[in-house]
Amino acid sequence: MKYRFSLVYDFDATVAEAVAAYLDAEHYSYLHRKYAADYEILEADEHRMRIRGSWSLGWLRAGHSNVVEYVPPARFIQYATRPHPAWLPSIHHLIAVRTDLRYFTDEARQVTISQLDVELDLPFWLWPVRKLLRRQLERLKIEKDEEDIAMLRRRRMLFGDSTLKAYLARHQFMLFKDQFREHFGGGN
Amino acid sequence: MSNAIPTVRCRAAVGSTRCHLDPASDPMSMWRSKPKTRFRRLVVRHPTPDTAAVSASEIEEGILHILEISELRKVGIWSDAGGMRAFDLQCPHMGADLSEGWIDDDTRLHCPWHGYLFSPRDGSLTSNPNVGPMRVARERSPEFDPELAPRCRLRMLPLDRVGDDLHIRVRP
Repeated sequence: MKYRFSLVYDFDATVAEAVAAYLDAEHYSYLHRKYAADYEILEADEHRMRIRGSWSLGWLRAGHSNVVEYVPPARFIQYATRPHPAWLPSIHHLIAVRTDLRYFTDEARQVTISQLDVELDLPFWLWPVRKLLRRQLERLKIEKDEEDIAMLRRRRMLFGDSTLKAYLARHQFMLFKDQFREHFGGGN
Repeated sequence: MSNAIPTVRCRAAVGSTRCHLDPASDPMSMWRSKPKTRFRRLVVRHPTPDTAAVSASEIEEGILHILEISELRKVGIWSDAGGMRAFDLQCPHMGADLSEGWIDDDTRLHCPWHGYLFSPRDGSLTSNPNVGPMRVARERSPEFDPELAPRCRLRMLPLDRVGDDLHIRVRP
């Protein structure tokens, strides 16, 4: 059974900053370490990557991986979530999650909008907990965005309008960097 | 772009979802690694506008002492058998507040945003721990050269002993 919902709000940064923060792979296991202590890229091609987030408890390293697809300039689709290790009982054996995140500018108000569309494909007997799952996913997205916005705000206070410059340095790794540069690198 | 306290302004109704970052409320926190922190905050005096001063007797070996100069600027003092040094606690990589990071058992200062490791002894970047986990995608491209190391190091500050005090020149 499919349950769909959307989470839409203002994101206090430019679209370029929001996309840069999303593609800044190196910050996930540090700024967002609360959600995954380890962040690893398992497979990569021009538009897609399979990424694993995990954490350790003693000898056990548990987490999940999923495919992230970048649709330039500012859209990210995540799907094909797999638990890790595969034998570990996980909600991902029961529920398929597909998310579609877009950042765009509301021209009338001149603010950036974050729109997350989520589709949960779950068995009928989990239907009663769909709203609980929704709240957890919404909370996760909002908390991560708060951390990113705090980072971007500090960077704006320190560097003014040059917040993208460090991301575009030749030594700096970020996901899908060539495509990001093509769309947001003008003047930097 | 607003400079107000960062908030996510939700237009959608999010039910009872509350946004808070308190790890104590995180039911999964026991699964997640906890950084080791060896920091101590000190009260700072300013004998001149360009100088921050603290009492030398407050400095202990193996502890990073934090002096708050302004909202955006903090200075660290590190002492060990090799001597005493002072440096800016702003990460030279992306600008993180390093007083929110931690120091590990190998005396490496961890940046809280990207995990870059710095030596509090000489300010050098000792490693970028992200290289290994992202190896698959770190291929040379027109915009990225994996052979180039980031040229960043902590900004070391002149530190003088004046009587019982330590004076740090916080402005060049």
